[in-house]
Amino acid sequence: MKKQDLFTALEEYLELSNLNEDSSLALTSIDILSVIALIDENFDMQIKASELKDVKSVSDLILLIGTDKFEA
Amino acid sequence: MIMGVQISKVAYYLPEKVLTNEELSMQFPDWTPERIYDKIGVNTRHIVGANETALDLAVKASRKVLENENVSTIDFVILCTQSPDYFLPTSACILHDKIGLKEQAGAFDINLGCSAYIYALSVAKGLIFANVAKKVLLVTAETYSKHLDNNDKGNRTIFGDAASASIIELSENNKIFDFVLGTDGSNFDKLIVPNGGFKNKISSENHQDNFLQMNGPEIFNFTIQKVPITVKQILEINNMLIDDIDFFLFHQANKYILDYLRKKIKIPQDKFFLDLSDTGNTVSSTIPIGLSKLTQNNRLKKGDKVLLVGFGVGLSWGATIIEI
Repeated sequence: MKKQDLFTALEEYLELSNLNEDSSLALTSIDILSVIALIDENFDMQIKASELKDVKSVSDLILLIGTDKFEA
Repeated sequence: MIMGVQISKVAYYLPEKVLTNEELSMQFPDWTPERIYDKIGVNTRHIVGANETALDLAVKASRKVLENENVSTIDFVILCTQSPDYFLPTSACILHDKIGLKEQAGAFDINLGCSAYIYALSVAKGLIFANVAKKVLLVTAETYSKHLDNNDKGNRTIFGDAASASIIELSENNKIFDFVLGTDGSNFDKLIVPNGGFKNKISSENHQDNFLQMNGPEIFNFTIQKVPITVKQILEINNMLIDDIDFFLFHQANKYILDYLRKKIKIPQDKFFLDLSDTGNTVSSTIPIGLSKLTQNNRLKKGDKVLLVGFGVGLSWGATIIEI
């Protein structure tokens, strides 16, 4: 997955628009489920909810997933 | 000679009082009725009255399934509940008396939640195969509404109260196949009522801990990890493929989880049961309620194979395949 694909997926899952790496995120409890689902589906990874509580921006999420997981 | 076992009859009972999304939305204005339905898949749920207990519901569901049955042929009752009337005795002993079972019939409770129906089916099958019983009454009854804080928006939208009763008995051909069961006690605290037992008494200081606490995201993680693997295992041990299954009936946790699981496991929508709009998540009763609804709506025909999966509090999970 490319970073741009993540932005698009996040927009779809979280019902947001015009996201980029610098966008801030304020994840509600339902958003957290959506992000867990998105990561499971696209990266086959299980992220703990406690880890997502520290995510305040799209770049935080990319770091949590791991920058090496994204295509150039 | 024992040839096999089958579920021969299923009935359910819902308490009269109904809690609507509109009522919840008035208390929690940031969630509209439409938003609750869209995310959770529930419009209304039935809730017991202050003096009504899971045992009362169990009695009513049992009487429904025993209509036109000779009660003296029941030689065991299993009651799945986490909402007992007393610490002791078990509710099953009181149920045994209230529905007039014979003295020689065994009775016990199973303290499990959303996986309980699967576990109880495996126990009922074992009792019959061990020649301990020929006809087992399997009852599920839960009043999680009594475990919920009135201000707990999330869980009050999800859970409803209900009871079910099934008759499991000898049959010419085996119609309850092999089981997969599993437990992860290390995550016991992800879905818990912390206070009220002997470890932590009911407390006015830690008021929240007197009520059900659910870590939704971690339960979601557990579910999306364990359920697909369990489906794969249950197909393998029964030598079946996903195309051999006519219907998939999972514990009705909530619409969000079920939609995700269906897509992840690649189950066709027309083979997947999703119907909790008028009941909510009724814990151990969702699977038998689903069986009853599918039968009533003629969506199942004789010979159909139905894959059942329960998962939740414990953490605990189980699956089997039944033939109609």
